[in-house]
Amino acid sequence: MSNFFEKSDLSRSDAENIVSETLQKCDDGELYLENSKSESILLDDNKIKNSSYSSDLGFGFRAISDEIVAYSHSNEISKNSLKQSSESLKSTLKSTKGIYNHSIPKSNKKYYDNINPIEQKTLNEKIEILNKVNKYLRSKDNNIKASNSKFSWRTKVYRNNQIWRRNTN
Amino acid sequence: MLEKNGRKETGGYGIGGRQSYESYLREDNWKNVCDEALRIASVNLESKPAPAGEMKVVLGPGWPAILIHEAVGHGLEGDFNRKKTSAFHNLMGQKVASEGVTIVDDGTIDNKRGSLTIDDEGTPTEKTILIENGILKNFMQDRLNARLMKTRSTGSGRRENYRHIVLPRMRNTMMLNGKHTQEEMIKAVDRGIFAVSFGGGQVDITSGKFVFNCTEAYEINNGKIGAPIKGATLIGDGPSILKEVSMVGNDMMLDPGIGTCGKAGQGVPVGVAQPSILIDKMTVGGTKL
Repeated sequence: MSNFFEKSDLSRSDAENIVSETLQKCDDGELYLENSKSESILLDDNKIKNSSYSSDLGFGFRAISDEIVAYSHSNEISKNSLKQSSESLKSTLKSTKGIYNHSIPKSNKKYYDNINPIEQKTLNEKIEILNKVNKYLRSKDNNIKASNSKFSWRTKVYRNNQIWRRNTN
Repeated sequence: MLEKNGRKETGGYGIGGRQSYESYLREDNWKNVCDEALRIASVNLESKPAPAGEMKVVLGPGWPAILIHEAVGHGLEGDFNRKKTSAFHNLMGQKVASEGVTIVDDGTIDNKRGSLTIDDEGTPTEKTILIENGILKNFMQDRLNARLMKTRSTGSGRRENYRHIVLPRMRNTMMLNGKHTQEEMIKAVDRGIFAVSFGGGQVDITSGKFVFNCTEAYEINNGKIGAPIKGATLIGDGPSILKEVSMVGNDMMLDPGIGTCGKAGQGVPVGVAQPSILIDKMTVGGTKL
């Protein structure tokens, strides 16, 4: 499981203090931390024509008063970056008079496993499957003029209101 | 892509969900995907021009529910109703669909593409009844819109990633089973079409007005499925179509896990499901009059 504070000068207690201070006069808001990885491999007409892998890490900080939403995000998880976001939110909502309500119902139900499929197979194993798919399709019908097959995966881990989860799709 | 006698047609199929590679990469599984793509291309190779005009339409089970998602589901999202831009905003508790039509948005189905353990605001997901037996019961809500509409979040707050704000969004949007068989529906149609799968389309998500292109469809003549047709488009608006549903099937299927919903520039994974349904009146755009 990702630790968003591991390689940052921002500690969990720093983050909690900044969030509490920023949202104290707001109706709602949260700090949303996310680490995602995605991968896509396209085999088109017997060749790998496109392959991509990306990894992304960042936060989104939201403050809400009545129906006004102030939002700031950054791909840098650091104390300075979060403070800058806080200042931005506070200046947008400087006349707010809300009462922050952070209560969210809790649940232990999970509807999918915490797995990262991208790491389950090597790139070569994935390409081998695509080649098998291509070969199988072309063996089924002599009229096939073109075929393409594609893997695409995304894994997202986030922390929000002290709840962990991992999404895979 | 298949080519025969100078004619080229394509077929495509995919599967997905919140699961490991292993479940998808079993040989029988990916071979089924290949066979289905090839079958669709083969059907389209034999297709003839689609009829045009107002007629009865039977939608097949599963993926055709994308029409419900686009033309009805978006109109039931909290933000459009709070801002009163949805056609449904003042219809809570009223009859908005034919009797027998029940639509839910369910984030609790194991391993499905639209399922969420918790939403992107931390709220546990749930099964939200939107329309029950034709009566509008609930909207989908995130925390912001729920608070302003004096209700509770339905665990529908979602965002594409940390760069985006949360919006109320669908998860797995499903029309539930009725009592009719698909055979009964086909027999009830003198002249119409049987739409099995859709490709692209255009939708105004607040009014529910849509144009969808069929990627696999057949003509129906005198209660029997006929030849495959090419180039059929379905045209209408969601609120009206809901009232034209005259039979709801007993063969509900979930889509294979390929849907990504777009709203305000954000894409999120979703699922759809429905049984076969008979729509008594719909405009079909085709090339054969």
